[in-house]
Amino acid sequence: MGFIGNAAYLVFHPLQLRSIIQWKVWHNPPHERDAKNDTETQKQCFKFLDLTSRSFSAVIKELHPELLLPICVFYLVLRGLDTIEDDTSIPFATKEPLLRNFKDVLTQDGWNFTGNRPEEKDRELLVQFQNVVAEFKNMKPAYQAIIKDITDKMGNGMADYCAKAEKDDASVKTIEEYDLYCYYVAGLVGEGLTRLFVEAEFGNPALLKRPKLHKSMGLFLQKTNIIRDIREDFDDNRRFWPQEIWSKHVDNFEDLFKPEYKEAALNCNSEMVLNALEHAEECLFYLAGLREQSVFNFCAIPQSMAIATMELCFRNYDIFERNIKITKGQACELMTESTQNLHVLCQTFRRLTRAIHKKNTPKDPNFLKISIVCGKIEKFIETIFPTQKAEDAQRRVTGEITAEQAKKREEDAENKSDVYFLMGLMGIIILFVAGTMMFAAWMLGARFDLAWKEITSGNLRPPSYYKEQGQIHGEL
Amino acid sequence: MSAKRRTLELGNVLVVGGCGFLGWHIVDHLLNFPSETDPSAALPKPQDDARFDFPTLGSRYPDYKAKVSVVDLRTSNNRLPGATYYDGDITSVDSMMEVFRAVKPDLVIHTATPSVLEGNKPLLYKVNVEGTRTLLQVAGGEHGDWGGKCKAFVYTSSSSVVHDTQSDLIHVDESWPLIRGKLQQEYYSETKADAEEIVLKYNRQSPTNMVTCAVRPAGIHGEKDTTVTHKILEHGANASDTVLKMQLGNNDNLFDFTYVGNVAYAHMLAGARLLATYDRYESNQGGPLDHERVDGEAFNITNDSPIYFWDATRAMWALIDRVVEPHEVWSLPEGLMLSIGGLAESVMNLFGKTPRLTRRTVRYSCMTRYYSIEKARVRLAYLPVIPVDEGIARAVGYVVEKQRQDSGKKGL
Repeated sequence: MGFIGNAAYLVFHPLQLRSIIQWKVWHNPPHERDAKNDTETQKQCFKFLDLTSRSFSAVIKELHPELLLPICVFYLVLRGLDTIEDDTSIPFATKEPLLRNFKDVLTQDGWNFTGNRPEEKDRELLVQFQNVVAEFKNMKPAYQAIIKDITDKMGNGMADYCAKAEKDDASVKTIEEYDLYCYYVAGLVGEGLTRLFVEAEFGNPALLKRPKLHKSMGLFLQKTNIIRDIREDFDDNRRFWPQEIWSKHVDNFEDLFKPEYKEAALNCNSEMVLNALEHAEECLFYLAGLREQSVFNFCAIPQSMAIATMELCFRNYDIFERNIKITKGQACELMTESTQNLHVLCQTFRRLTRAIHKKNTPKDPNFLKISIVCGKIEKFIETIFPTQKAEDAQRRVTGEITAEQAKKREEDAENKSDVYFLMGLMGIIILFVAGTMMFAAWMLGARFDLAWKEITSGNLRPPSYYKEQGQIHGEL
Repeated sequence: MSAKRRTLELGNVLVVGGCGFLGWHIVDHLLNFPSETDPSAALPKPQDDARFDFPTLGSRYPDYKAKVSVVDLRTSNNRLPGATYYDGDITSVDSMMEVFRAVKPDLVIHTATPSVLEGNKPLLYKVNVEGTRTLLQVAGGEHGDWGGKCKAFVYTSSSSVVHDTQSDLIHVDESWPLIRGKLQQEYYSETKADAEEIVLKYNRQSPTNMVTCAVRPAGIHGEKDTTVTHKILEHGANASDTVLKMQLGNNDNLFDFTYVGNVAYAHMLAGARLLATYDRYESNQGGPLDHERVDGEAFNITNDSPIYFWDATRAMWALIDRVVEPHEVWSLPEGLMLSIGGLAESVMNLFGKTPRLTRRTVRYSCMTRYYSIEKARVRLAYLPVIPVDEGIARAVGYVVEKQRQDSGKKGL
C-alpha cells in the first residue's frame, strides 16, 4: 500500500488512526538516547542497527543507557552470525569453522568478512564488522563474557544444523527437534538477554534459576514467526513446521497449500498455534521478574505483538497463501499497552486469548485442548492479579463491612444531607424573590384582594377571555 | 510409560456408597482397574473410533494395595469383581455396626449421598447430615467395639459448599467461607457443608483418635455419569439446529470440569496421607506441621484446567456429530435471558410447573466458576492425571455406546 492507500485505509478505520496518533503523541521513551557524544564506531553500530532490524531498533534505542550498547552490539553480533548461516553461496567447509569460531572474532581488532554474496541483504554489516568488534571490546568484561558465551553456543548450534542439512534434509521431524531449533535461534537470545538484565540488576536473579521461563520467551516469538511465515518459507524451500504435527493432518507437506486440503490445513494451523500458546503463561511469568521500565518495554512489546499475530493467524487460511501482518494501528495500540505495566499487558493477553477462543471450532480435533490452553492463560493472570479476595467473601457471610465500604456509606450520607441543604436553600431563595416581587407589585398598587376573589369564584382566565366568549354568544 | 509407578498402600478399605457414580470409580481404582483387565467388568466403549481410544487408566494411576469392601443401600448394580459387598443403611447405627463388625476397616471413604436431582429436603438432611454423623460415630468407636479400630476417614464433600449458586467464583481456594442459611439457595450444598463441618471437627475427637479430612470435587464427569453428561447429550441429540446454536451469555466464563478418575485418585492420596498421619500421632512422632497438615482439612479437587462453559457442551455435541461452528452461534445476553427466565418461571408457576429456562439455568451457563487446587497440590501431591478433553470423551463414549447397546437389546 502506498501513502494514498494507507491514508484511505485509515480514514475508514478511525480506531486504528486513533491508536497511531496516541502512540506518536503520548509515548515518552523511558530513556532518551543522547547521540551527540557518540563516537564514530558507536554511530556506525546504531546505523547498522537501523539497517538490519525493522522492529527491534526502536525499542533497543529506548533502553537504559547501561544496557543500550551491550544489547545493540549483542543484536549485531547475532545478526552477523545469521547472515553467514543464511548465505547458501558459502560452501559448508568455509561456513562451519566460521560459525563455530565466531566467538573469537569478537576480540580480533579490525575483523571483517567480505565472503557474502552481493545479494545478501545484511552483507554490509559483516564488511564493516570492525566497528562492532571495537564496541564489543569497550564493554564491561561481564557483559563481554555473556555475549561471547551465547555467540559460542549459537554458532555451534547453527553449525550442527548446517551439518545436518548437508547430510540429509534439514526439515524438522519431531516436536522436540522443533523446540531445539527454536531454542538455538531464539531461546539462546533469551538466555543471553536475561543474563545481561540480571548482571545490570534490572531483573530478578531468580529468572536465571528458572531457565524454562526465558526459553519460553524466545520460543514463543520464534514459533509465532514460523507459523506466520509458512508460505514464504515454503516458497524458499524451508520447512520448519514439525512433521510430527503436520503428518497428523496431511500426508505430504505440500498438501497444506492445496485448496482441497483446506480443512486439514486449518486444523494443522490450529495445532501449531496450540503448541505455541503453551509458552504464553511462562512469558507472563518471566515479565513479572523485570524491574526496569525500559527493559520491561523491550521484552513486552515483542510478546504482545506475538500473541496478536497468533490471534491473526489462528484458523486463518490466508497464511497458506500469502504473508499476513497485524495492522499498523493494531501495532501502535499494542505498543502503548506494552509500555505501561504488567497488569495492562495481562489485560491485553487476556483480550487476545479470548479472541482466539472465539474462533475455536468444535470440528477441530484439538478444540478442547485449545480451550484448555486459553483457560490456563486466563487462570495464570488470575493468580498474579486476583479479582476476588477471601476476606471479602468472609465479610459477606459475617455481614461485616470493610473500612472502605464504611467510608463509602458515610460519604453517601454526607452527599444526601448536602443535597437536602441545597434544596432547602433554593426554596428559601425562591420564597424571598417571590415575596420581594409581590411586595413591589403591592406597593405599585396591585389588587391581590380582587385577584383572590376572582380565583376563588372559579375565573381562572384573564377577564379579556371571558369578554370574547361573551361576544361570541352575543352574536349568536 | 515405562517409569515405575508409585504404590499406594491403603490397608483394609470400606467404601461407603461404593455403587454410586464416584464410589464405583473409587472401587475400580482400589482394585487396580478390573474395568480394564476383566472383560466381565468392562465398560461400554465405542470400538474402532480413534476419538474414544486412550491409554489405559491402570498405566497412569498408581498401583494400589488394598482389601476392598463396599457398603451401599442397594448393591445389586455397579458391582466389580474383587470387592466384598454389603447392603447397609448409614442412617442406622445397627446396620452400620453389623458392617463394621464384618469388615473391620482401617480406612473409610464416605461418598454416599442421595442424587441431587431426586433429593427432597428431609431425605438430604437425613442421609447427608445424620447419616454422616452416625457413620463417623460408628467408625470412631462411639457406639461400642466392633472388633477393630478405624484409623482414617475421607469424606466426599462438594465444591458447592462455598458457592451461593449465584456469584462468580474465580480461582477460589479453601479459605473461602462455607455458605449457609439465607445466603445458600441450594439445600444440597447446605447439607454437604454441615456434614463436612461435622467430619472435620471430629478429627482426633473419637475414642480411637480417628483422623479425618474432606475432598471437594467440582464438576465431576466421566464414565457412568448419568446426570450432567447424559442431559447435555440428550439435548444435543434431540434439539433442532436452531436451538443448538443458541448460547446463553458470551462464553467467556471459565468453568471447572473434573474427570471422575482424578477425583477418585485424590481420595486415595488423601487416604494414604491420613493413614501416615495417624501412625505419626500414634507413635508420638509429633503431628504434621501446619503447612503440610491433611487431617482436619478440606481440599478442592479439580482438573486444574478450567474451560469455557459452552466449549465443554459443544465438545460433547461434536462427539455425537452435532457441530456448532463459532460463526453460527447466537449469543443471547445474560441480562435479557434472566428477565425472560423470570417471566417464564412466573407464568409456568401459575400452572404449577417449572420451565426449561429458569433464572438459575441462565446464571449457571453465564457464571465463572473455578477453583484453586494449590492446597491439594502441595499437601496431597495431587495433580490431575487424565486431562479434561480425555475425560469428556470418555464420558461421552460411555453414554453413546451404552445407548447403542440398550437400543440393540430392545430391538432383539
